[in-house]
Amino acid sequence: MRQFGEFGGRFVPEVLVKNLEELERAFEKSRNNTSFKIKLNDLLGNYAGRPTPLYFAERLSEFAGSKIFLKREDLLHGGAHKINNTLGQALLASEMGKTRIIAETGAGQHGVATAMACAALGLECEIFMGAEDVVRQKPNVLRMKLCGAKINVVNSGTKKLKDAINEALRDWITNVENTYYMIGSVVGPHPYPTIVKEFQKIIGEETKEQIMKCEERLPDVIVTCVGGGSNAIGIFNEFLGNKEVKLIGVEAGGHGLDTDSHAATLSKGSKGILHGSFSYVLQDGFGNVKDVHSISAGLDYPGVGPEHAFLKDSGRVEYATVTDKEAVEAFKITCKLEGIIPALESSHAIAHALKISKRLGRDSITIVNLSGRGDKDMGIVEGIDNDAD
Amino acid sequence: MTRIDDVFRRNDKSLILYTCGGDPDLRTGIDIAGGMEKYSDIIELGIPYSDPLADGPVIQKANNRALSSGIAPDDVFQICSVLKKPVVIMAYYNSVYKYGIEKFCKKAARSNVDGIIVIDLPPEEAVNIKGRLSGMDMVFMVSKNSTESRIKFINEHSSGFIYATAVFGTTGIRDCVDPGLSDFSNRLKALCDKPLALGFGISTPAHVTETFSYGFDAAIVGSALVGRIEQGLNDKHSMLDNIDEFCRYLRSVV
Repeated sequence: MRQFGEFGGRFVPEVLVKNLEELERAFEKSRNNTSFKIKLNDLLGNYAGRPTPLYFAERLSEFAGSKIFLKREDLLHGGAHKINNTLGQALLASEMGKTRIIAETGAGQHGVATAMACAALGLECEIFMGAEDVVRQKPNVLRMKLCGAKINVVNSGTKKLKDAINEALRDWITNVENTYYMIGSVVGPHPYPTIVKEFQKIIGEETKEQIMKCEERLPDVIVTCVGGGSNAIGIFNEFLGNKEVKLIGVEAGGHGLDTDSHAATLSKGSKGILHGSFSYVLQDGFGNVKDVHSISAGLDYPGVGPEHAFLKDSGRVEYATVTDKEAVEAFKITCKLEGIIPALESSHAIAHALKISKRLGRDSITIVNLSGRGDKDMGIVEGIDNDAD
Repeated sequence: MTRIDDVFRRNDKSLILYTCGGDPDLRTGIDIAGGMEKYSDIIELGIPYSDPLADGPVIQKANNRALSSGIAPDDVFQICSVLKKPVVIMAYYNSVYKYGIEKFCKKAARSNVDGIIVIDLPPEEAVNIKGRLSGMDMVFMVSKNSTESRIKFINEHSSGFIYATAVFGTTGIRDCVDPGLSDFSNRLKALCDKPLALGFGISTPAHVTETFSYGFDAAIVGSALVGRIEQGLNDKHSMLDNIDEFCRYLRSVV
C-alpha cells in the first residue's frame, strides 16, 4: 500500500501500527467534518494570521530582472508555515482524546509552532531537538520553553533533525497509549505525509487566488526550499495540475555537491527507507544513513517526503540545489532590498529564483514561498561575517 | 520442517540469545556468537544499522561499535556461516533493501541463516521478501496493542515463530517483567498456531523463568547480554568469561 506511486508506505515496528491506523481513521473523519473545519479556519485566521500576503517584491525584481512575488508565510504567528500544520494536528489530537504531544524539530520552527498550538489548545508538549540544533537555533529553544514545552535534547547519532525524529519515534513506541506524535513535515509513515499536506495545501490555494487577482494569470515558476518538504508540498499541491507552471524545489547544497557536506537528498540520494516511508535517502552502500550538512538546520536532513520522490521521478517538479554561501548572499540581498529577513531555509529558494531570473525575462512571474522569517538565524549570519572580517 | 520448527518441536522452553553481529569488531563478534551458541537454542544476530529506532541506548551503542569497525551485512553472514545452531537475522528494512532483497535472502540462506526478522517491516509491506526467502522462515512481531484481527494476520504470515514484544518501548534492560503478560500470552495462544517467543526487557534468569510461566515458548535476551560487551571493551578475555557466565546462568533456568 503506497500513496505516491512506489513511494510512501508504513515501515514501522508493529507497536505503532495500531496508532497509525487510529490516526488515519480520525483524520479521514475530521478532514471532511464541518465543525472541525470551522474550528481550524477560525484558528488559522484569528490565531495564526491567515491569509498571508502575496507581496510583489519590486526592488528584488528589479535586481533580478524579472517579477518576483513572495508568499509571506514568514508573517504567520511563530514566524513560519509550520503553524498551519500544528494547529490542524493539535485539533486532531484533541478530537482523538490524546493529552500528550511530542514533536521533533530541526530549525526549531516546527517546535515553536507545536509549543504554541499546544499552549493555545491546552495540551502537554515535549519537543525533541538535536544537541547541535539546540546550540545553533537557540532563540527558538527559548521561545518553546516560554510556551510551556519541555525540551528533550537529543545526543544520539548525528545530534540533528534525523536523530530528533528517531528519538521522538522511540518515545512514541514507549508512550503509545496517551501520546500523539505531531510530525512536522511531509515525512514519516502513512498517513503523516498526507495529513501534513492536507494542512499545508492552503498556502497554494491562497497563492493561486492572489496571483490571479493581481496579475490575472498563473505564475511561470514557483520556487521553494525542500528539507522534508512541507512548505513545498503546501504551495505546489494546488498547481500540480497546471502543467504550464514550472515547479522547482531547492535542496541544501551545503559546501557543494562534489563534497559530502550537503543535504541534497533528491539530487544525490538513492531509494530507501527512512523514518517509516519509502523515498529517497542519503545513504551509504549498505543503507546506513549519511551524516549531512546544511547551514540551515531545517534543511539539514538526509531524507525527504515520499511525495517529493514521486514528483521528482514523474518529472513534474524539478529539484535544484543552492550552497550555504549562495543562501547567505540571498539572505543579505533580501534584507537590504526589501527589509525582509528571510529564514536561511527560505533563502535557498530566493537564491535559486535570483539565479534563474535573468533568463526568464522581464515579464515572467516567479513566486517564492518565503516559508519562514530569519530572526532565529542572526547568530549564524553574524558568525559568518565575523569569520570574514 | 525447518531447523527452527525442529527446535520448537523438541523443546517446550527455548532460549534465544541476541547480539549485534560484529560488535565490537569481527574477531570478537565471532567469539561472542560462538560462546553464546553453547547456551542458546536459536541465535539471533543483528545487522548493524545507523538508525535503529526500535532499539534503546544499549543496542544503539552496539550498532555504532560494529559500524565503526566497518561491519557490513557480509561480515554478519560470515559469522552465521560458522555457527552450528539455528540462526535468525534481525535487520532494519533499509539494510535488506539496499543490499538487494533477493541477493540478501540468497546470501543469508547460503550462510546457514534459518530465519529473518525485519523489525520495521509489517507483513503488508513484506511481499517482496516473502517471495524470495529461499527456504528461510520469516518471523513477524506482535505487540501488546495488536488487535485480534492483526494478531491473526501476523500469525498467518509468520513462520518459525512469532516475536512478541513484552513492553511498550524500545529494547533495553528492565527491572521487572509486566505481570499483564499472562493475559497477552493467553490472547496470543487463542489466536496463533505458531510458537511464541517473548523479547524486549527480558534481562535476568528470573525474567526468563517468568516468561515460561506465562506460557511463552521461548525467551529472547538481548540488551542484558550486549551490556556485558560494553562493560568488557577494555579486556576481551574477561568480557568473554562474563558473557559465558551470564549465558550459562540464563540457561540454567531453561
